[in-house]
Amino acid sequence: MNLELGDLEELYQDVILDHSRRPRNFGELPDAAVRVHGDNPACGDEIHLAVKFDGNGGLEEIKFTGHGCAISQASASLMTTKLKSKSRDEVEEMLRAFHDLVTSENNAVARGGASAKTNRRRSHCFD
Amino acid sequence: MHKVATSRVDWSGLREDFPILRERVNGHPLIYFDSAASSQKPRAVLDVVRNYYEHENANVHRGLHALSARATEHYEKSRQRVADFIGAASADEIVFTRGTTESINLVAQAWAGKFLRAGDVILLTEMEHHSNLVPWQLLAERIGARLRFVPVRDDGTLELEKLSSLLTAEVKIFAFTHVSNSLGTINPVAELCQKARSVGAMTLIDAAQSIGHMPLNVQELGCDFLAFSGHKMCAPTGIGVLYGGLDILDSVPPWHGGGEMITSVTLEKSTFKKPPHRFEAGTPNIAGAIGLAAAIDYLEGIGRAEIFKHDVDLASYALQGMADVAGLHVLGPSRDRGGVISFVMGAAHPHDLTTFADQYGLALRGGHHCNQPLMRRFGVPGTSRASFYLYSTREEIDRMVDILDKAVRFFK
Repeated sequence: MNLELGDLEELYQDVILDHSRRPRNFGELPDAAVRVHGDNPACGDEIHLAVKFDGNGGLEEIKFTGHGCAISQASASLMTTKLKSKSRDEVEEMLRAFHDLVTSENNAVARGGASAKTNRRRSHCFD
Repeated sequence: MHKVATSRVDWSGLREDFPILRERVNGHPLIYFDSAASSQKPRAVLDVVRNYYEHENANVHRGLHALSARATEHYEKSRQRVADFIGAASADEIVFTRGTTESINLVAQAWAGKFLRAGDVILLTEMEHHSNLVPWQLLAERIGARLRFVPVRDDGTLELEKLSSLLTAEVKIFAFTHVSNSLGTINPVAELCQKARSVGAMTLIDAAQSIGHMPLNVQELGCDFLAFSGHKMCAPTGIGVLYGGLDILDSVPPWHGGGEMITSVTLEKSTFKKPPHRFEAGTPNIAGAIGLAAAIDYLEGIGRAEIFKHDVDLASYALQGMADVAGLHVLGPSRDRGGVISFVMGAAHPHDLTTFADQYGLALRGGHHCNQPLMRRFGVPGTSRASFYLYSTREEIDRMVDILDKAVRFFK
């Protein structure tokens, strides 16, 4: 394997390519309690998120639609798989941890690997 | 195989004039295919700018000392050089600005702000760069004018047969691009100017993508205004030009106020210089203007007709090579196009493809190219774009096609 392909494969890990080709929880949720729309005007990525809660405020169902680069769509797909069926407290804790990860100066993304520069340039895709 | 065009220009030799082309990116020789965003600069331009700062630097039009006189003379000679380059009747028709965007804003705010009224129509096209759209939206909002658009066909050309119904007496100005920055379409600008004139509408040509790529003469085109940037034609960033006929410029009120543009000032009131200095408030980009003149010298040394042939040759060579890349779809016309190729790939989003290409040292542009309405018109979120210039080669295009093939396999 040559070096540059190594960098690319670090950014586009199998899990990213897999989720971008076959996004999980992709589609409409007609009886959603909350709908959220997020977009990135700089590159046109769009995510429409729909969620349904259980009786205790936990995430019973979560679905998304949207379009954009592999990283943005795979991030949304991965997020739905992590959040689905989680309690409210678990969701809030995951949100906090993710926020710390992508905003911290010393986070793993910023430190790690030869593709750190690329990752920072593309951090808006999963942020 | 492909016929190699014969040319008196040593195209691969002139790459030596561009120091940046020796850069390596991610371990690969740089392939710079983003010249439609900004061109690279030849050493001749870099040297002139450096020489100015080392031997002539002073403010213009005010100091009585030797350096100020040198700077002023060089700055004003550069204006004359621009006038000759675009076939203007006089250097007084050349206003130095920061770039195409500022030039168009000057017309929209100062000229149109004075002469347009509520209900008047500003005619544009669907393929305008945001810089020839947003200034007119701001003006229309302010004075109650209306915007109207010439539609774009599926093949990326203007629907000219609609022009007679769009170009009515209510149209006060028709502003359009010469070459589309995302489709590469070359518009029939002389014909558009003539049709606008027949209904008494003024014309503005956005020449950002054409000025450094093909012969261009404002008197032959018959336009009232023409706007362009230096940085897309081998000159530094931050310098641009607004051309306007002398009578027209003379009718335009001041835009920015400040030093340099006045004849006398009291605490209550000022009187203003004639064009072009009326529109150049504050210390101008002197080094930029001098660098622009040096870029003109450089381009004319090669010949704009030769550069145009080179662009067209590279574009058709690239289109042939890209036709064999699986799932790749090119936007824009199949003929009469400049060296700009926008494309989409089923397997990879433009941003993923741009990141992939960058790992191989290939600089593409990915995104909406400041053309969001046009992207919507074609039903794509964005495209990847390869744009060529005089230093681009067929060998680089071969390498691009190879990288695109690799991307198809990687993202499939």
